[in-house]
Amino acid sequence: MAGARFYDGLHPTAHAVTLRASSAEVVALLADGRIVARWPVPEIEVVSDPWHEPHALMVCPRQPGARLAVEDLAYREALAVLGANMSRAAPRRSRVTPVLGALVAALVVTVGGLALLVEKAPDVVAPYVPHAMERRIGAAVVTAMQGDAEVCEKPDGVAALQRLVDRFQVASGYQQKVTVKIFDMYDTTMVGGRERKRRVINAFAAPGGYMVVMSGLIEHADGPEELAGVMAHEMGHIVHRHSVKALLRAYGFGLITKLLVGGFSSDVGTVTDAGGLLLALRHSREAEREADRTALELLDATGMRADGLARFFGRLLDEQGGKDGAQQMGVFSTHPPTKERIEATTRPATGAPAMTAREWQALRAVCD
Amino acid sequence: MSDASPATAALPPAWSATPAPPAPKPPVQVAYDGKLGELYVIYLRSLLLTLLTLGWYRFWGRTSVRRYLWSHFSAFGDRFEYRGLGLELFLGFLLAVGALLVFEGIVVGLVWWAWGDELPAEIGMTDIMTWALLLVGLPLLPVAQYAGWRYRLTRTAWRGIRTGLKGSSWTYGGKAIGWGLLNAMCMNLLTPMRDVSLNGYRTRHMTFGNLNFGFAGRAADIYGRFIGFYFLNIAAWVVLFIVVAIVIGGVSSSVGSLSFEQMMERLANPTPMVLLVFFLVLFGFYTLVGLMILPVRCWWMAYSLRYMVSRAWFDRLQFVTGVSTRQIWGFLVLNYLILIFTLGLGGPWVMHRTARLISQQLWIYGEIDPAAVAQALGGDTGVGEGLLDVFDVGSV
Repeated sequence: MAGARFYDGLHPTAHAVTLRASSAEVVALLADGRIVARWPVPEIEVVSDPWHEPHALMVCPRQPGARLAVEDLAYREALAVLGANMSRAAPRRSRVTPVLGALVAALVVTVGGLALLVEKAPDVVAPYVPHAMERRIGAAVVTAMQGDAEVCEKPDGVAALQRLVDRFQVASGYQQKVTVKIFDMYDTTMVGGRERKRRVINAFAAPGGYMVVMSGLIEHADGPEELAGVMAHEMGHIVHRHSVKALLRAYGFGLITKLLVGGFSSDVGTVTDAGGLLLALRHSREAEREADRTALELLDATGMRADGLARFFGRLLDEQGGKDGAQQMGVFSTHPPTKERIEATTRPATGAPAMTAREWQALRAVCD
Repeated sequence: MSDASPATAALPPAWSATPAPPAPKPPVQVAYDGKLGELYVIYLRSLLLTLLTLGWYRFWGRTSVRRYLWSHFSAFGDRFEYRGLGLELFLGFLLAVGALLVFEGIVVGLVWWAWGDELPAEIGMTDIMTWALLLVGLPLLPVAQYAGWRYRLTRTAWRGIRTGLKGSSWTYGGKAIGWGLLNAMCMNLLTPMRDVSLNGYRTRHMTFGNLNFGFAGRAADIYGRFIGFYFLNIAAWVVLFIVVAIVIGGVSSSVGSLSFEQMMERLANPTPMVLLVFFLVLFGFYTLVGLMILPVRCWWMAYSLRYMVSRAWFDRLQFVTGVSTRQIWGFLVLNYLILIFTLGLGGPWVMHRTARLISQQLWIYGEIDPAAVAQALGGDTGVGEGLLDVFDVGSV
């Protein structure tokens, strides 16, 4: 005998009823003894969720829509043993504190494991990304980068640069063809209230073995050794598939934080995005160091003069008046401090030239 | 009124013998008896499973949380019931994703048919697809919202009688977009009209059994207070800017020796001291906004909410909330801060606070007439709130 509430499923009335249950049937009686429900146990279904709801809700197809609600814990236990279909009547709530502790521990382990996976897996997975896919992404990146810049296509110059890069590619053991593209790109800066337009000094490695060289780099390089140093550095990015690793890492980090913070608020997303960006920048600086190291190895392997890279960095630093932009940007910088890179890459001026004088002349004129 | 007593005396005996009408029953409150710890167990468990399944468990997890919340709310001694299924949410999500894929396929097909290979290389197909999605997605948001409410209401029951939401989510979406555009063009001066219109549509289409809820709000009733809020809000911003200007002026004269670049360099290579100063400045700014702008906004929102609730009715029931400016501040601002500072892990705490606020501040006057309300037939919407999930809004 226990108190329960009966809903007839037709009107919003609650009848306080007393239950009489046996293994054959459950009977609900009003206070005046009238029977409002007489349900055979095998036909009863418990529709409530014993983990999340504080009552057992029973229904029976003999009275469609009608419900019997029981809250008394002991009585719910008693109902549960009446039949297999009644087992959900029993409460299945666990004690909060130990379960919370276990859940928090499991979450810490899971999040830690996933974070480690996102951190380490790209290094393992990146070489197995199909080259065709990498190539497609790379082509899109290069197109986006090009913007409205002209492509420099003088055959002699392009061939000279391609020969240089091909030597690095062979020495590096990278299995795929490396495609070099030269963009004639300008940026404008305000100098003393006057706009000054100058060529962009930069080079990029995109996924799929694309290497983009801005015309300003060729113009600005003091001799083929400096250019060769930078090309070897970009080849380092390609060999280590840094761009694919960065993409995989960004995707993984985004997935985890999205799962963790859910759809609560886009501002929470902004906070985690900022965290992801800082993390990506840290990886980016590490990738630059790795590319610098590989550049020196490639220059050594091809027997070229290896002093160009440090010299190039040194001149960049001098032109900024000794102000180290990367140092100033600190944790927000994509590159390590230039001074640190110079120290790490300084080499003696010995070895074979990177290209012949004729090749260098052709390359210098590639955008004319 | 000296002639009142003879009039009373002149009443026929039968009239005066009628028993006094029963004293009106005191209003009842909606009760919530959930516990924060239990809610956290449910939430963290589903978070763990969501992580382990890379997101696929979330539909079932969300359903568990709803079952817990709904069934711990009660009115007149009877608990609410949530009978939605995780599977429904999952199928709804798949349907919505499928529909979007078909839509994007059509877009790509049309673009290809119109331009073919002549599409300029700078315009990527992915850009076109993203823009198409945004163009369609933003107007669809209120439509999805209404469909989501309908899903949740059709899965909700009290005393064995289902609730529901009639009306068309497309009509609602159209109204929401139309009012949004019109209001933006009128510098937000139409806000009361928009709110009353949208809220009225929602409320009037809500059903319990076979009866609709009613809504008797009129924008004119709240316009006076809104205009007050409107100009107070502007004044608060002006004062805020003056205060910020004075503070910045004072600070810059004391750290005038630091150039902008030097400051940036210190920020980029943070020492604990720099971090402390940075966070103090940030905190100061937010405190100013919190003290000057948000109270004005909360004052208006509390007033608007009290009005909207009090103008809703069902059968012989009337609803009242006495929610105060401070409570709305706690609801909006504190909940927001909790979510930000816990990176979302404060979610259950926020749900718990919200549930408690409802139980403290929702009063029901009158009694339901069981004979007047009957179970409605049909009214089921099949699968879940797919579009809503695709656009990633709403967590409960």
